[in-house]
Amino acid sequence: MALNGHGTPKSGGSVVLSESNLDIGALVASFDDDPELQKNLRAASVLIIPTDLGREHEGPVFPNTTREVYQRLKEELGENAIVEAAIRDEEYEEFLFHSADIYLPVIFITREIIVSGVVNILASYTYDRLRNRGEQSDESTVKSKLHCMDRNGNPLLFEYDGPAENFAPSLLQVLRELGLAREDYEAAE
Amino acid sequence: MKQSNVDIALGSSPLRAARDHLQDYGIRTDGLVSTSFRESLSHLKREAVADDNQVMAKAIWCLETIGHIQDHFVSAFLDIRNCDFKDAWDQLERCQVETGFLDKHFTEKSDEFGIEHARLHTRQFQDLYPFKIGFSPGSIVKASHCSICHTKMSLRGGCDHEIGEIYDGEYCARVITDLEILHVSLTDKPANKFSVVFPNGNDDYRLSLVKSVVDALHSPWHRWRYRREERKDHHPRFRGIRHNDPCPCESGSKYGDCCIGNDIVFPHFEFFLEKGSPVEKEGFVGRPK
Repeated sequence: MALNGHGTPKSGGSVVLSESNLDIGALVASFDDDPELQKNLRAASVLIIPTDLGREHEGPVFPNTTREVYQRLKEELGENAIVEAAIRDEEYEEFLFHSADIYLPVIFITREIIVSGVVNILASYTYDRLRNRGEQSDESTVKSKLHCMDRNGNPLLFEYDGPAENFAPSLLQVLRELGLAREDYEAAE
Repeated sequence: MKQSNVDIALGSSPLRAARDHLQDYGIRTDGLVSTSFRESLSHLKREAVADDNQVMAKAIWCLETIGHIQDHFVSAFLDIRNCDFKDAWDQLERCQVETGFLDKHFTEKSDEFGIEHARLHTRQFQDLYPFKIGFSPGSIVKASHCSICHTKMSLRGGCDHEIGEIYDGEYCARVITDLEILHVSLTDKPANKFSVVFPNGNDDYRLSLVKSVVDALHSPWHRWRYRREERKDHHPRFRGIRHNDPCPCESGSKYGDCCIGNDIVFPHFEFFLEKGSPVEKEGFVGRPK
């Protein structure tokens, strides 16, 4: 799959686009003993998935923004999407890297039509978070990973690591180039 | 249960005296908010909560927070003047944090409470400080609860209280009760700025810049700004050396073909101070003796 053109992050915080190797089937299968949760995960159009901290921590863990992002996505997307997280409530743990950087949860989006909407919600969330901390968006870095499919069903991974203020513009620009922006779908209707 | 932005004008309400006191931030003789003011607000808040008057309770929280911001800013100024630089740094950080708390609930008009002044000048002081590296712990949060109702927080469950909102005149925060530290790292962007690195004690930091600004001001509420430039100067070692002389770096080349462009680059600050004190009042905080 030709995914060149967005390779190396620049100082302004560009997007790295690559082929996603996320195995959602295996992730869902790991909840075999919880059919209810499995059913919800299969139905999800926006799925928050655990972050791997490698040797630092065993087991599923999520960044400290996850609870607020989860609630924000449910609130903003409403009936347009089913938002779920691949974790049981009682096993939910967060990592807190006590820096000014904002770590967003890894998100898998099954309906490409809502990708740009999710990006806008995440950008709005980071803006509010910075404002509530009295920070400016040109000082804090956002780290985000989004998995989705392109129009041909190829799995994509968007990785962003850069200034908060460039987060949405950079991602939306790449989505437009791939024909995955909201206006592309509106034009097609 | 989301609440709207609050109006603390409230006409001739019981809060009027408190509001007036806070608006007099530029002329309070002792600089800080008075104890009686705080007690008065606490009393009013208890009454508002007893009457389930959430609008009033939230307005009182806003006034209390404005008072905190003013106090932190003035305290930082006084600490710098007294050469208590780390204490001042912490006060500036508190000022910034509480301004962030307030922003969601209150929009100031025309710097009537000095909040915009404090925000701008806090950032300027922070920029001038040489504290650039802080400790940053990485940890796993295993349990936490809501500061309002103490309900355990979980991803899908928990209470309906929203972090950052005001309930019964109190700020809703997340209280972490079980934490596992993974590591401590050094970063130039710590989440909070309290954890400054002091490699060999305070003496390693040159704080004359921030001190000179405060010494030049009559009051913390006196506006100022600065411009930072990089300037070049000849290295003392190269002074008097001519173009065709052997280079002092002992490379064997002529100076003109070697180190002639290697000037020293140093930061240069220019400060612009507002003329005069905002109010010339005897005993005003920070006034030069």
